[in-house]
Amino acid sequence: MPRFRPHKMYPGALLAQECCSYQASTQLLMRMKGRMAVIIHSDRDCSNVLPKTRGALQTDDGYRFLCTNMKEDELVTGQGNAKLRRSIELVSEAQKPELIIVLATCPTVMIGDNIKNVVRKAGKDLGINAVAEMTNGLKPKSPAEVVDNLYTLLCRGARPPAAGMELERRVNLVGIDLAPRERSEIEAGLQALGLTLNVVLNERASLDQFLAVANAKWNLHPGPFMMLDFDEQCRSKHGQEPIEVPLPYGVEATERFYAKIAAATGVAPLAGDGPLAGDGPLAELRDAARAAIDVSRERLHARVWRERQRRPRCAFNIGSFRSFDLRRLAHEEMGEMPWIDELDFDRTLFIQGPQDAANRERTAQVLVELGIDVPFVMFPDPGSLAKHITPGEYDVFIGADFLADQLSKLNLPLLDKSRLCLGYGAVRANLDQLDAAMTHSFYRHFEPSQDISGPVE
Amino acid sequence: MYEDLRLDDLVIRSSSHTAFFGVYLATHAILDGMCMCHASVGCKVKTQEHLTAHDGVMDAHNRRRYSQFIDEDLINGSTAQLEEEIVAWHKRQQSGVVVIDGSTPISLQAQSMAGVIQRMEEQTGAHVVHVPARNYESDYFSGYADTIGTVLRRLEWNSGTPRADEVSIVGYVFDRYEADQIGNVAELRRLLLNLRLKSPAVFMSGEPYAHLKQAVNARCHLVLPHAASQQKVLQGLGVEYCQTGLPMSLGGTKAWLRQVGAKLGVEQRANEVITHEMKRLKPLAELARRQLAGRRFALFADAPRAAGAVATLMDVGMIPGLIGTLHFHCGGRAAVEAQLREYHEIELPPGVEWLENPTPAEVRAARIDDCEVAFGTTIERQQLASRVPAWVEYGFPSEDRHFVFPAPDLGFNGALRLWEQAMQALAQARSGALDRRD
Repeated sequence: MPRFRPHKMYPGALLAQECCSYQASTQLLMRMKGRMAVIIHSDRDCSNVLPKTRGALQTDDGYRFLCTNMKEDELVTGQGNAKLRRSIELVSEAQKPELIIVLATCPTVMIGDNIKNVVRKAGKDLGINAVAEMTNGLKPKSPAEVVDNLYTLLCRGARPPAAGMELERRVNLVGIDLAPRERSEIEAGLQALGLTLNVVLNERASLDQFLAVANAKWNLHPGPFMMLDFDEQCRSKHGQEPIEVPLPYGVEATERFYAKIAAATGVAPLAGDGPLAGDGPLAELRDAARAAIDVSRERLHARVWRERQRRPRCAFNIGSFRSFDLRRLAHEEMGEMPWIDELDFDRTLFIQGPQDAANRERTAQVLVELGIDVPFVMFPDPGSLAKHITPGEYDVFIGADFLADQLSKLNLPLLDKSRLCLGYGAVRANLDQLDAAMTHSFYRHFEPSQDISGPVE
Repeated sequence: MYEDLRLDDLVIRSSSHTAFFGVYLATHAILDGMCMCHASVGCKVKTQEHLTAHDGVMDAHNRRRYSQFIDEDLINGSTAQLEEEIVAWHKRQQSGVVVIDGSTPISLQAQSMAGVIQRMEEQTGAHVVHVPARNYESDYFSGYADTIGTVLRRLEWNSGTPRADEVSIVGYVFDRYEADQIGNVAELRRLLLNLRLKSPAVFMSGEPYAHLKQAVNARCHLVLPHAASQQKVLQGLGVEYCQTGLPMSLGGTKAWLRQVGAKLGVEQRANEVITHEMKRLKPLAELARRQLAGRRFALFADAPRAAGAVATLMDVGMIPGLIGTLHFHCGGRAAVEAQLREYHEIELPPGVEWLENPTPAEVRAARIDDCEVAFGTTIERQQLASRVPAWVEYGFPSEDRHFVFPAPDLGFNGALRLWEQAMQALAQARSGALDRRD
């Protein structure tokens, strides 16, 4: 049977795809702000993990990513160390970045280049900040582990807390990408709890924000078992404490999100002046969200009953999405599930991964430990998903857009997970997305494809 | 050491779409082809990353698998994982052909794939080929062309009988299953059908491998510029072939028909077709000329396509302001100028600005401010669109522009569609809908 997951899985991401730590690091560093330069120590091909579009290669400050572009003769004759050293000098001189990050890759790890020492020495000789990460794809990792490692690295040189700051009332939000509307709702909620948001550390954060991490007592991030090294570093260096929060998808989970923070920080009650109290800043949003869920639940149940004489059925996808955002990875990629629960749909998990008995058993155990009692189907690769679903069996597939082609064969509407938003204010928009997916007329005009049958291992 | 190294030597250009990606793209263009990347886990991103937003019809990643070798596989020289994956995936997908796409670590290992191919063909019954991607100094056109050559070598030539009315086309870079590409394949076939020639095998066309296998019955193989490097393969096979230009622009398409006609002894028919087509096109071309003549344009494309598109636009009196040649396998400025002279009978006016395999900074600094319309990929558009009133996304990747109805750029119909797109882009700019200067 083909071998998958040969590595030790990260405790908080046992069902996720595995990844190349080098590629993951480039993706994480792509949108971060600040005068950073990343030198990829590799042949040209490894730099091709970067998209050429979406402004990934160049920022207003110059090139974010550069590559030593090692040639074959340079690789086989061991000239990598010298070329890397000269590259650091050139980049430092031309762009004067605040930090140079050197990433190793499979070819340069294979030939044994002494990357850490070259970078350390260059940093010392040139008086610059330069760090090396021994990233490569020869030892696959969990995406969550790469996030943990990289955030730990970026915070390593954090400044001590500023004098006079009331650290007990300051929090950092770690690992979650936030749209402006999501962020402002969370800030309002925290404020009502008497807390100030210090920094949000995510793919859009700046190097400066990572270095300011110590200006807060608490690090909020989803779990379980996420950001282990980061938490350890923050605890030992700055006396910080982590708070594992649920992802605020839907009404109940958002309530638990604030309740968990309130309980852990012990600085503000949920009642009285809290965000959810009768006249609290979020109470109106919460009540509107609850009403919207009630209306949608009734409407979608009635519609499915009328058309199919059964309750709505949702296929929920895990393990197909390549992401380095904890809002996608945490809770074994089921952070959105509480919102589905509120709609009272029947759910089946579709987990991309090997189908052997050992992996099925392992997966079942992970779900038990998470308290998830939902049937699951394993499918081995994106191209074979359609073979595991009968047309008409489900009403909506909540998952990765990566699978759109397969779902089209089944006439099964896709609700792209990455379009779902956080907080009370997003509940209505999420319901609109779901409603549009489940009720549009598009698939009524077409028959499911005929080529979806085939052997299923 | 490395005193001569410059920052530009470290820059990642659009041409870092290497041969490894080219092999994947070429395999994507075989409807039932399976691309087996002999690579580690991160290499899959080098393939799918670049195509998912470009091809809105077919998800290439569904027919791509990777062997996911790890350090111990490399140390042991093991191909066990690769072979298990090929067998498992062939069982799932019933692939017509399996293309093993070798990554850099594999090329460093210099391990022969002959044994793997033999075992896999025995176990799957499908054709299995290996294209060793030379990623150091090649681009995706090179990998694409090598894949065509490798597939040609694998065909069962002894089983074929050349047919008088069949040819094959070698070297069309089919990069997505949208109607621009489908339209080009249809236009190539239409031109040949007008010469009473069938072309069941088009390398590549987005059709099943069984269609490519029919190349063994072709009387002659028409080699387009993107596969010029594979003439040696056809030479080695001892089959008849004809190196042509790209049938683009009025002059270029006429020259192509005449060349094919001369090679296959249907010159008279070619001249009749040209006369008929020119009569059909004239009023439409006049319309385009009235709308477009005198307008200055910028264009970014690989050399053969750049020559063809520049000639097409100059046919209606447009003025080239800047030409940027992308990638390098197909040549740069010299190749464009030579093809314009040789195939399209066009001389460029003085004062044209040139960029060759530019860095992102060079693209950003391109002198296009006096151009009214620009043609180029998403990569150039994202850097330059704010400085030119109208942009026509053109070539790979086109992440913003998609087609649901035939929109070729080859042949006579391609000329009409390219003019139409230029006209519509300018009209849209005039309407203020896309006032990119703000």
